[in-house]
Amino acid sequence: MAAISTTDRARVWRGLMRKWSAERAICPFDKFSLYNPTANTGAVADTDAWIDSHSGNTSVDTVGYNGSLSVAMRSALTADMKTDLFLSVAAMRRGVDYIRRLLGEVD
Amino acid sequence: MATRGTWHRDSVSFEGMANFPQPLQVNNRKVLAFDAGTDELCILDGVAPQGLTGTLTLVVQGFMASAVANTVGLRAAVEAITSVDTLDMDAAESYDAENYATSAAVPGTAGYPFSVTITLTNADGMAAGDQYRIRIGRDADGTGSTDSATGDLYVTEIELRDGA
Repeated sequence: MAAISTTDRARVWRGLMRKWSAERAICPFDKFSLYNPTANTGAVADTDAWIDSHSGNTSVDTVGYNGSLSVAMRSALTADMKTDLFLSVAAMRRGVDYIRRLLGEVD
Repeated sequence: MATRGTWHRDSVSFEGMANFPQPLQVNNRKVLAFDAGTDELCILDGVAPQGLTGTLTLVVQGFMASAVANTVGLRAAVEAITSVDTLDMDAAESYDAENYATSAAVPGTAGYPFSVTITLTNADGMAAGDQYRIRIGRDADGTGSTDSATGDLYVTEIELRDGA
């Protein structure tokens, strides 16, 4: 399974921001640290890359999920947000129908 | 400065907008929720009042859903039509060039109110008696301003001022 496209990464990004806005979750980070659709960087990209590179890994893994995130985002995201992020990216990797069950419509 | 118009959630319209802000109720307040990931637009319309003069500005009041740092940027374009214009109104629009706000820093606490001002340098020559539309929204893609705050901007009120 390949990494998801920049278009789908942006859909995850928008969907997460909507979810956290609806929950009034405090976001002490800029939106481009979560995902930058122009540069294809940020926590959404880091998460997808981590899942992608580890999904076929047969050796002992020394990089945990938290270690895949930038130092700033490791501390800025709460544990709940990291769970949301991981679940959403993983769901988008399996298809848009999966992520809609978590975040509703994503565009 | 004189106030020349005010709008809120229920007095804007969304005709023709591919992406538009979601009308919401937040803590019993009527708001328009502007995404951080997409430029969402809505329309303010009216007739330019007699006595309109000087440079026009829009003052947008609102609060952030989640962001406690960084900035938001807004954009607005004006279409002003005089009764003797030769615009084919059932076939064309005539918005002037886009205006961008100087990016505004969001408060350090989500939910605290703040305002963003857009100077309408490109006002399509709006004069008293013109019918006008102002297409306003968040510059989420950063075309003309820096918009870096995460999550929704909740807009509560929009005010049009002139130079009087």
